[in-house]
Amino acid sequence: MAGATAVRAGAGSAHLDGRFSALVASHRERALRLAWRLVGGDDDAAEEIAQEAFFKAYRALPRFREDARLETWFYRILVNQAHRYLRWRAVRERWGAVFHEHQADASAARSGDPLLRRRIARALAGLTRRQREAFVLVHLEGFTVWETAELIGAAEGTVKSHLHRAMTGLRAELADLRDLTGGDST
Amino acid sequence: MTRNDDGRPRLGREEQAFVERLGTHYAPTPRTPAERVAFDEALSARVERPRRGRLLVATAAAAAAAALFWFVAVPSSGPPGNGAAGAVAARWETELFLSSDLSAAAARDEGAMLPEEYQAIALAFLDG
Repeated sequence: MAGATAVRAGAGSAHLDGRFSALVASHRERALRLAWRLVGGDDDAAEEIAQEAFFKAYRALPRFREDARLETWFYRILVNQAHRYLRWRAVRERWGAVFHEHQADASAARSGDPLLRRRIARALAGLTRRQREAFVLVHLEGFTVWETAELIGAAEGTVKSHLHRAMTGLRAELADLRDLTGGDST
Repeated sequence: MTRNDDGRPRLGREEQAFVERLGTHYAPTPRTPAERVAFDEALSARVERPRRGRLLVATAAAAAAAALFWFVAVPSSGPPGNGAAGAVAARWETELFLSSDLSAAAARDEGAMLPEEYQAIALAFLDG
């Protein structure tokens, strides 16, 4: 992220640029993975969301008030960005089948088991937005319950409730996954 | 599902295995170093773009201000000690700039309008 460090002028700005570069370097992979999981396994969408979230964080960094951890603040931006993307995609899906074709192509080109990946994506898509976000953030990305409550703007008790319902729904939908061993998916 | 002291929910063994399998199968392919560089470059380009726009606007504004200053201030700054004469000359030059029809009138009235030291300059312009 060397290019971004020279953008703002002045000593205070250099500090902000340095902070931003460190944020990108240490959270790029996690941001991409979280975005990917929130939008149903779409590489291009994940990249777009992560880029937009980092860009928004860069612009808002001078106004960041330190009343939350920088990482928590950034991931809140990212989760909101993913939600915005999904809303936009829902509108687009209503007007055509572009997304479905695109997603199928992207999955086919990837390594691993695209069929199983699509099944998990579909099962997650069947949850409510909050259930999906809570499950991905806590169980797949390792955020704590209170961090997740901060990220999605809900009470801790509500997050736990979402987690419980998400777990029930996914285990019912993907019952056969419990019997899998290792990387097999049959 | 209960909560751990570290804020993470405690899962049963079966639930834990289920979540681990989900995490294993539902993850993107790790980025290659080249992809990471491409990501950073794209982000840098995005961060730079608004800055270039702002620079362009600032440059255009500065150029406009300089042109205005040159048009208004430079003609009125005559030789030292000739403030009144300079002002008259500036007014005359402005009128000349605004309307070429004034050239003839200016030539007729130049004796009345201009101090001596500017008459030579005016004649050079009008006759040349």
